[in-house]
Amino acid sequence: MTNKLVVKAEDLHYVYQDGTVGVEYANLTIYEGECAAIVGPNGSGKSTLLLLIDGLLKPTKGRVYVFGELMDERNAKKLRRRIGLLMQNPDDMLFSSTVQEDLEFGLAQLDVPKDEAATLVDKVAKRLGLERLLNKPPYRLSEGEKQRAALACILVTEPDLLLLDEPTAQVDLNSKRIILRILNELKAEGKSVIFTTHDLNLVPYLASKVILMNRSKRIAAEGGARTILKDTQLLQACELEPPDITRLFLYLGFREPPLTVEEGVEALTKLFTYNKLKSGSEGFYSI
Amino acid sequence: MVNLVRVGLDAFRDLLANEGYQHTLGFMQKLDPRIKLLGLAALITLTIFTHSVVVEVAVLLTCYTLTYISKIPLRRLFFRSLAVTLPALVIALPRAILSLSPFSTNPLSFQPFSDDFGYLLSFILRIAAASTTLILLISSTGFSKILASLRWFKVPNVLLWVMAMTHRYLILLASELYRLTLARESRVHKDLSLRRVWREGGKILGVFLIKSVERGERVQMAALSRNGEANMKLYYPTFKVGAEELLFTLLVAALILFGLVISI
Repeated sequence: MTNKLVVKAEDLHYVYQDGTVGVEYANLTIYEGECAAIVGPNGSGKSTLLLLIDGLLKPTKGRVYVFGELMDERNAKKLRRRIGLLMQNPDDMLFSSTVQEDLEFGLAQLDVPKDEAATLVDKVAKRLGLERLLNKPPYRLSEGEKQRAALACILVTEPDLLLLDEPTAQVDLNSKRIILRILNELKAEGKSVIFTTHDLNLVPYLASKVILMNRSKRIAAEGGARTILKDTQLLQACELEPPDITRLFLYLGFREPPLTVEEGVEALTKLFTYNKLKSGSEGFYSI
Repeated sequence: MVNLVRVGLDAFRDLLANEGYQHTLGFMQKLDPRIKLLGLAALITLTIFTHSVVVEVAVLLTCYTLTYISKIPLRRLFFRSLAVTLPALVIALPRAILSLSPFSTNPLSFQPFSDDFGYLLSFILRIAAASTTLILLISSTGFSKILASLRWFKVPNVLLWVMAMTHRYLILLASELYRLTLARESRVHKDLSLRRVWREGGKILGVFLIKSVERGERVQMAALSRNGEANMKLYYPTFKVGAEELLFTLLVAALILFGLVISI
């Protein structure tokens, strides 16, 4: 992560045509290489916030800067060349006759030569395990395959900022693993990632920063994943709960509960080893 | 109602999402889609304009032969074409009945070779030949290849996009309609009166329309987020022309010549 600002939202406010408030005065900052999770219950404005950042919705009030430039009608096209938006429903993303054509779509709009586009499509298809699906029409894919294909559609143009709306919702375990692996690789490559989710078990595996939204469409808190995810009171105020493993350790009275299963295993191993040394017993452990 | 929508949806999918035999290595599947499209379009035009039973039968036989050597089941072609031909027969049948003459010596007054009967036969065969040709095209060619060929023939991009999106979203929206009817049906625990069924059907269609508009908006956003504009850019596919294409062209040319000679 660098100290270069990628996204800066100032008092971002959006009201839909029917008068429904989409986002209420949101302020947030995302730095280059940062992976931020926007979490909140359904209808808290997470998706609207992503659409505002991508310039697909025009804010009613406030401003959003992307890569240091104001996201408005004049700059939107130029800025979107560096942004990849994954929409919540992959069916909205896959509108061509075959997966191959959908992958080529973004590249054709950027005037990438055909040979170069073919190489990029092959590369991203291999990365996401889509090689055998390229000639298939999108309606023949499973939900997991559709989500991977939709993700491939945005990765193929190699964007610097990824906006992912519920990337692992409604996908099978295999696709979820592939998507998580890809997102971690993208993080390692220094890409900036903003994703929305209401599955807090997923957040510690990806995000270093958490933006918490509540039912009144406001940002309730913004901070490090470790700080926010163990704050039960704050999460409950936003109709959320800490990750399952964190909740278990909080019930057990741990002050510094783990956020992932791996951290939990590590904490338990340490504890068992300590107790074993203390009791001198070979086969009996006590917490 | 659910069953009706399901049957409709299955038939619809079967007709549109016709990939079963598109990747089989048969004669028609191997052909360059541009040549195939042009050749089959020429055969349809021939049947429309010659008004000759012999030509129509010749085109039908050619289509069945091409289907056979393309490893596509003949039954499939026959029944699909029947789905188009039968309604046409029902529409045109009064023409044959009108040809019954009350002054004929024949007790049934049926004149099988009257002009009207001849017209009916020609009309039905024309519909059968044209629909069979069209079904042969979609059974042996992926929709994306058909679009690519149309693109090569300089059909406006906007029209191609409308076709591609319609093809893609017809199936998707039909599934949505099925889910809507299923959800409603699962909460109805008694037989509804016909009036009620119509009213409920109207409500479902209203919701379906709103959902379709919403989906359209989201698709537009998805295209915009990937820098898509009204004039979307596309890559031209790679085509090849070889001996099979030449053979097919000769066959079509011979049929056209035959048709012209017969009709003149």
